[in-house]
Amino acid sequence: MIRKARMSLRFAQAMRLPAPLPHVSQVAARMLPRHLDGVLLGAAVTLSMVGALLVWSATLPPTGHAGPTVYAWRHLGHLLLALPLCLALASLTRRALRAYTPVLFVAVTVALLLVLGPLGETVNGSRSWIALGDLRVQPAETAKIALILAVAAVLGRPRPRTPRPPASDVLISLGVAAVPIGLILLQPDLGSALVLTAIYLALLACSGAPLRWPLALLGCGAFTGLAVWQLGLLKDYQVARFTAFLDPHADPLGAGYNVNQALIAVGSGGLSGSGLFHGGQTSGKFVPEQHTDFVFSVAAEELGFAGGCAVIVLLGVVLLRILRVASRCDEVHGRLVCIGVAAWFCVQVFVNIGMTLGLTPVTGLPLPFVSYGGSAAVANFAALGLVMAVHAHNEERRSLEPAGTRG
Amino acid sequence: MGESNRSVKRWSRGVCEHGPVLAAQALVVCLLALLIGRLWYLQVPMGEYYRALAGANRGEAVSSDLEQRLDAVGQQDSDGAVLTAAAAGQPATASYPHDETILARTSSVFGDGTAARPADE
Repeated sequence: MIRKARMSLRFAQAMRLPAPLPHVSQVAARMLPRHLDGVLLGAAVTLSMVGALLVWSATLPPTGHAGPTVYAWRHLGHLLLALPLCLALASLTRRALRAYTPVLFVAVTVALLLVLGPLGETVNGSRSWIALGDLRVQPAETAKIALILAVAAVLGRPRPRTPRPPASDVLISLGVAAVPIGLILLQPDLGSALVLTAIYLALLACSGAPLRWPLALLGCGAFTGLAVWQLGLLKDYQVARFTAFLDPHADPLGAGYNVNQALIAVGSGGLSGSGLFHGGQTSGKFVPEQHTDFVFSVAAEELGFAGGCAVIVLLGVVLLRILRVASRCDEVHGRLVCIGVAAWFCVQVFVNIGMTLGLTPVTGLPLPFVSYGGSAAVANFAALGLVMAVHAHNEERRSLEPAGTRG
Repeated sequence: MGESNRSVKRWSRGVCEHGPVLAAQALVVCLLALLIGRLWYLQVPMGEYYRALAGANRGEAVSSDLEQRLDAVGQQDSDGAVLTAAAAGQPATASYPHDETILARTSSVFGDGTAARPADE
């Protein structure tokens, strides 16, 4: 009997049979990254939960309360879809991040081309959605991640001799960035194109490239903008948005309607607000798109200055934590990924809240983590996952360093 | 001397590497402070002004909604049953007595409606 058991053991060893299957919890624990930035993830999830409440209030029917609306449930559904993706990306290694970059860039380019084809759907004058039955996807959101990873891969290439990227790499990165920006301008989605341009300029300025490059590009951009304005190449609604920004009272029922109504909603909130679900402007649906682009007007009216400030501070926590991860990173690629994500969120936060407060022209940019929108939510949390992958690498490196040498 | 030179070099290298990140952090703080300052200006010093506008907004909306309903009732004057049903569904009319035109039209419609009701029943 014993001889038989020994023989079967030898047979198993000789055949190299696999060990018993691990428990599901062990698999999940292996997939989770070792080092998570709890403050960063907590702030983003809190913003998303606040967003669900604001979306609920903004989409309530005029007849009154009837439980969470379908938009509020969907907003929470987007969060449930985005969080596992965020955690999965946070467990990626630096090599994997670099290896997947070309695949993602090609996939996004194909999706942006599909948008311009028969699969594309026009919403608010911009052909920026792919309609797959009931599901609608906006590839411009994923294009932001693809641009960050691709440009960081080019400008953050390891260079033993000099930390500065040579002119050839700067030109290659410019060509890489021009592809998604050009395709998005063809939709035309001016807001997303401006965000992508800002991301690229931030990456270039922080890559160690001579300052003349970003300054020259800024000069070219300003000259092109002036030429486009003078030649009348902008669409009527785009011109109307700029003129409404310069003088919102000129056409209060036309081009200036959104800005005026948003200002009334924000201003009427006062210090403490009218209370969640009790905003007169919100329940009257005076502000268009108040569950997406103008969601901050709901926060300011119903939660007041205190609530509006809390949302801005939480967004500030997200931005400063991302930049903290960037400052602790010892290699250029990881630092550029974090800076790209921070530039993206910073531009969208400032432009979105700024348009609600009458500081910037109206553009179709959602407020990160707060506005309703599946494509934006998934892309935001995916970008956060990339930052946390860099954070995990930083923490692993720091844990290997002797205690006295830590900065 | 050599040690201090090395530490200065290390510090300057650190500034070159992390200078853009520090500048970005300062920029983020400035932009968020600008947003909070603007929010304060709109909600606290200008709060009363915007609350008055919001009140007028709601009044105007209810008033125009009421006018539209009254127009609809007026268009269906020839159909007695519809007129009664539409007029009976306007409980908010009594809360806007300040608008004389609307009040006059409201009373005329309600007058017709209530007069028509016994006949219908």
